[in-house]
Formats: sequence, structure tokens, C-alpha cells
Amino acid sequence: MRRLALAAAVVLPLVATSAALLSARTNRAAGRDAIVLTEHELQLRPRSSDNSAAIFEIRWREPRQLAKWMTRAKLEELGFNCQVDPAAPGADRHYRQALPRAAFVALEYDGPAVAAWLEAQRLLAGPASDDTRRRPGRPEPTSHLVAIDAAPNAATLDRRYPDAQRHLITSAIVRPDLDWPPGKPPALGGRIMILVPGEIHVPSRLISHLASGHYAVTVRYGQRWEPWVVDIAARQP
Amino acid sequence: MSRRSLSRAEAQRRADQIRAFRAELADSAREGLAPPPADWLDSLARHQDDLLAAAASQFDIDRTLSEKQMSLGMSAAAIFGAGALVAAVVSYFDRVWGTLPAGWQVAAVTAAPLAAVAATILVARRERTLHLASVCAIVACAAFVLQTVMLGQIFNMRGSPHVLAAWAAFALALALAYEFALPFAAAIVALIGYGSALTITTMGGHWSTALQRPESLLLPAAVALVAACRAPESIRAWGRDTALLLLLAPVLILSASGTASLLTWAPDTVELGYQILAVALGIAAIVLGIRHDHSDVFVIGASFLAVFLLLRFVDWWWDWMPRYLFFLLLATLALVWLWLLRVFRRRLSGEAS
Repeated sequence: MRRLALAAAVVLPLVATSAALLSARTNRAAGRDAIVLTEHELQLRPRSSDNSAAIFEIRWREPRQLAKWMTRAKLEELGFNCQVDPAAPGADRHYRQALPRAAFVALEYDGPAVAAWLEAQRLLAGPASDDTRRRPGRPEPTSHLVAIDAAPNAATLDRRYPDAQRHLITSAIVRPDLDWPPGKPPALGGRIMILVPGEIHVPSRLISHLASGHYAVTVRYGQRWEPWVVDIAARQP
Repeated sequence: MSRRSLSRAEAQRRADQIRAFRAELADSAREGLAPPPADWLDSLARHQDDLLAAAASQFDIDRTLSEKQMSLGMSAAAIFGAGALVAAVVSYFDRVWGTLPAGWQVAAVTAAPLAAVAATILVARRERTLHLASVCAIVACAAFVLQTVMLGQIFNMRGSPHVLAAWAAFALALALAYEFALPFAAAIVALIGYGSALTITTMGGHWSTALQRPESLLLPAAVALVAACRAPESIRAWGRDTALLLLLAPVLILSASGTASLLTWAPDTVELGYQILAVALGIAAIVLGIRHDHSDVFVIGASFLAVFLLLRFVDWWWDWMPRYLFFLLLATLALVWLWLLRVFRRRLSGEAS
């Protein structure tokens, strides 16, 4: 019994590493073309002498007034039960109790969605934070990544948004949400809780390119929808 | 007469019984009681000495109260040392991580748990008390968790609940190899977490949100509790207590916050249901603890009921009752509880005699 148990304790770490290497190799064997993002979309986590790892946190926007694509039909497509009328008694509890689900989301980079958001902000002439939902990742107002669509599988989004240099497709956790506009009945919407993964590891050979604080990062998403950093170049702000 | 081989736990229990028996025999003789026949006493003493010598040579058990107290101190020092060593390993990896090429990173995190397992084996061969070996085993478990987390970070993986099963398997392997208590408790926690994650995944939710729904812990914890009761005796209590705590904690949470429930009932109805369940489980734990002579189960059940009742009293009375009356009522209830336990104890004594 002891020998068998110790053999398991020796084999498991080897199996874990083998599985990770195989998964990474499978992921990187194919996938979408690369996308180039800047420090506004990939913010470097603070480092110190006691913490030398370089990790990017992906920052994106999900402006409330632009999330018209997160409709009841979209939520039902993602698997949520949206039969309860948002104005009915108990609707708030029903939608708050809904289990967050895995989905794939498409984020547009530096495209019409960002332009529309900037224009809306200019018209409102208010602070940017008023209409931008705070996400657990604390998205920077300067990020040019905007969530524009979601689907239960990545292949649908891949077909819908073939330009990988303008659209990033990644896994996420989403949930329904009730919006309470002043003076109006509640409206059903949804929100993206977090991207999965929400961080990207920087290979140590590229860390030195981050010194200036302004950088262009070439990122690819593989066929398992897991990203990796291909290259980093310093850029002028 | 043949003597079957004893486990470490059985050997320690026999040693404790022999020590207590000899102390009582000496006290009875001092009080004037006629001793048993000398040849029987000699025969018994030789038998007990042989048993103690064999157990001591095989397991290094505690033969005196002082040795037992020393062992408790050594266990506490081992747990503290293991915690500090784990923190040192994690901090070291954090410090050097960015300076290592990817290949070295993978090699380092893979080598860490293997080195700790090798250390566990080598130390266990040389140390009969297994305190140092248990430190190495705890570090090995932490190193394996670190390995899976860091590999996921290096390759930006999306994560999977199955990693919890791997953690449980690794900790269980080390726990069963040498009957280590803390790794066994850790394996139980990981197994229950895995069951909770699978429950939420089966219901369509994302596994990482499982803890937002405490109910997802109930069934896995109940299964783990039954399974832990079949573990080797020396580690059984740790597994049983861990599973019992993870069974009672969700009930306590849901008895106060029905909105966290998976059930579609009104929150008040959910809370009432879980309050009834809390009382039933607390009483069941107390009764089973007494019946099977498991003082740990009794203490957990009694503590759980006490915390549950305190929360209920605060919820029912704190807002409107004068403070002095609230605490007076608590004191009265505690005295009533004390009286009930005395009555129960007297009945047990009556049954025993």
C-alpha cells in the first residue's frame, strides 16, 4: 500500500507537467492570427524584487449604454432562463440567483465601438467612469478593447469576426443583470464578470522590453482559446 | 498466546491504558485495597512491559505523560515549521520567477514536489516519530499545488476543476503512505471542493463560482464524511472533523442568508428550512459523538449549535431588546443548557451502572 501511494505521489507531478505541455502544444499548433495591443489594454501587474514575475492584466470596457447586444435572446442563447418578466415580482431575485455561465466573448479593438463610446462621452460631457461598469479587473478608461458580442461556443464568433487583428475572442464568465434606468421599468441585460484567462504571462526573455512603460504586445490566441505573448516592442506614447 | 501486530494509533492507545491502569493500581493500593496475587501481577507487568518495549521500538510512542506533552509540542512545532517552509518556497519562486527561462520554470516547478516527496521518504526512514517527515509531506502538497498553479500561469491556461482532483489524489497518496493527518485533511478539503465544482458545472454554472453557492458543498461533504470514517484510525478523526466542518458551515451560512441558496424558494423559507436542518445536524453530531465516544464530533456539534443559536438570538432580539436583557436571556439559556446536560449525564451514568 505504501509503495503504491508513494508511486502515485511521484507520478502525479510528472503527469501534471506532461498534461500542461501537451495542452500548450495543442493550443499553439493552430489558432487565430496575432493582435497587437498596447499598455492600455495589457496593464503590467506591479513588480518588485520579491515578485519578479511579469503578468499582464487584460483591461477592457463594457459600457452600459453600448451593451445593446446583450439582449434577452442573447442571454437565452447563452443558456440562461429569461422567462421571468424583469418587471414581475421576484424578478430581481430570479436573475440574481442565476448561476454565472461560461461563454465566449468577442472584443473589438480600436474600432467603431470605441469611437461610439468616446463620442457618447463627449456628448454627455461627464466623467468617463459614470457610464463604464467597474469590473473586477478595474478596466482602464483608456483601453480600446470593447466587448461587442458573446456566444456559447467560440466557432460562432470566429466565423462572425474573422479579422483577428481587430477582434479578440476569448472565454469569459457571464451572467444576467437587471438594469434600473431612472423613471423607467427595469430592463434585462447581461454582463461579463471576468475574462478567462484574465491575465497573460510574459516570457522572461521579453521582460526587458517593458522597461519604458510604453509597449506594443503581439498576442495570439490558440485553438484552445488560450493566449500567449509572441513579441513585445517598445513604442512611443 | 499470539499477538497481532498493532498500528501506531493502537500501540499509543494501549500505552495510555497501561499507564492509567498502573496509576490506578498504585492509588488503590495506597488506599488500602488488597492487591491481586503477586504472580498474576508479575505476569501482567511482564506482558505490559513487553508490549510497551515492542511498541516503543517500532513506533517511538509516548510512554509517560511528559513524553505525550513533548509530542504535542513537537506536533505544533512541525505545523509551524511546515507553514514557514511553504511560505519560504512560494516566496523564493516569486523572487526568481522572472529571471528564469520558460524551460527552467517548468523544470523548477516540476522538481519541487518531487524533491519534497523524496525528502519525505528519506526522512521517514530515519525518524520513527515522523514529525519531520510530516513537515516534508506538507511542503510536498504545497509544492504540488504551486506546480499546477504556476504551469497554468506560464501557459495562460483556462483552468479546470479537475486540478482539484489532482490535488486531492496527491495529498491522499502521501497521507495514506505514512498516515499523515494534515495532508489527509487537505485531501478531504480538495475532494469536497472538486465535488462542489462538479455540482455547479452539472447545473450549467461555471465551476469557479461554486463557493458562491454553499449548498454545492453539502453532498460532497456528506460523502467525504462517510468515506473519512473508513480511513486508518490515526488519521480518521482529522478527515472526519474536516468533512463535518465543511458540512455544517454551509448550513450555518444558509440559515442566515437564504439568497445564496440554489433553491428557487423565497429566502425566508430557505432560511427556515436550513435553521431546522442546523438544529437537527447539531443534535445528531452531539448524540453520535457521545454514542461512539468521539469527543471531537461532540465538541464540533456543540460549538456549531452554540454559534447557530447565538446568530439566531442576535437576529431575533438584538434590534429591539435592551442590551442587558439580551445578555441576561443568553445567560439564562446557557444555564438551562447546563442543567439539561447534567440531567443527560446523570441518565448516562445510571445506564452505565
